[in-house]
Amino acid sequence: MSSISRVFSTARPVFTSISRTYSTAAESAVTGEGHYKVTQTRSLIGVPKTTIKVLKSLGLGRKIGRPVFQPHNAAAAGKILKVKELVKVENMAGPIPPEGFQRTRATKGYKVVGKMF
Amino acid sequence: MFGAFRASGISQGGLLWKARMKMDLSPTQKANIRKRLKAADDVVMKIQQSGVECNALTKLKAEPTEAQMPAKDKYTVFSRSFKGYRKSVHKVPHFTKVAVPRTAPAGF
Repeated sequence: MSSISRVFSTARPVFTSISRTYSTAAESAVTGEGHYKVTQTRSLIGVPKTTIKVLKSLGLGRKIGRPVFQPHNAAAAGKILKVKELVKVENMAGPIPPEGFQRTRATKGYKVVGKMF
Repeated sequence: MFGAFRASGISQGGLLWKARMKMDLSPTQKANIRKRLKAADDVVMKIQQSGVECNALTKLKAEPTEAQMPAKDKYTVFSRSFKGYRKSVHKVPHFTKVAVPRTAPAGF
């Protein structure tokens, strides 16, 4: 066809799973038990309510930069991927450390020494 | 704009325009968009490296990474109502915190 000098392909490239390669060296998957260390990096102002619920179920939403520990399972992975625009993740080896189970709340200012009932 | 209505600073008083009326983004805005895309990619990569399988991960693996996206897809988003069927990504509400589609429908 002499009237058309160049033919542009309008087809979009199909992305397969193998094309999702990363520039950083592929670190080997954490062998054995492991957990995620999740840190919130952005505020939840203006975020959809469903995403806020997921953030809070992870233990986040209270302070930006305070880490939270989640086990290596599909439930935690799915939650983290739901909020991926707001968090930063690290893969850690071993079980969840003790600080992952401690309540980060302000001290009450009093101590209960006994109960009447 | 609206028939005989003449838009001026005074006549538009009372209206709040937070998003720029222009379509183009500054180099800083574009750099930050790329930074945020890479950060989201990093989260997906870490989940992938942990070896856990889940439905969300399967879907995200089919999406392109920041390096694989053409500039048009990084800085614009498909829109039915805009001329050219594309609008600047900064017009998406809360685009810095919400997952913006990385691919447009075929042909757009």
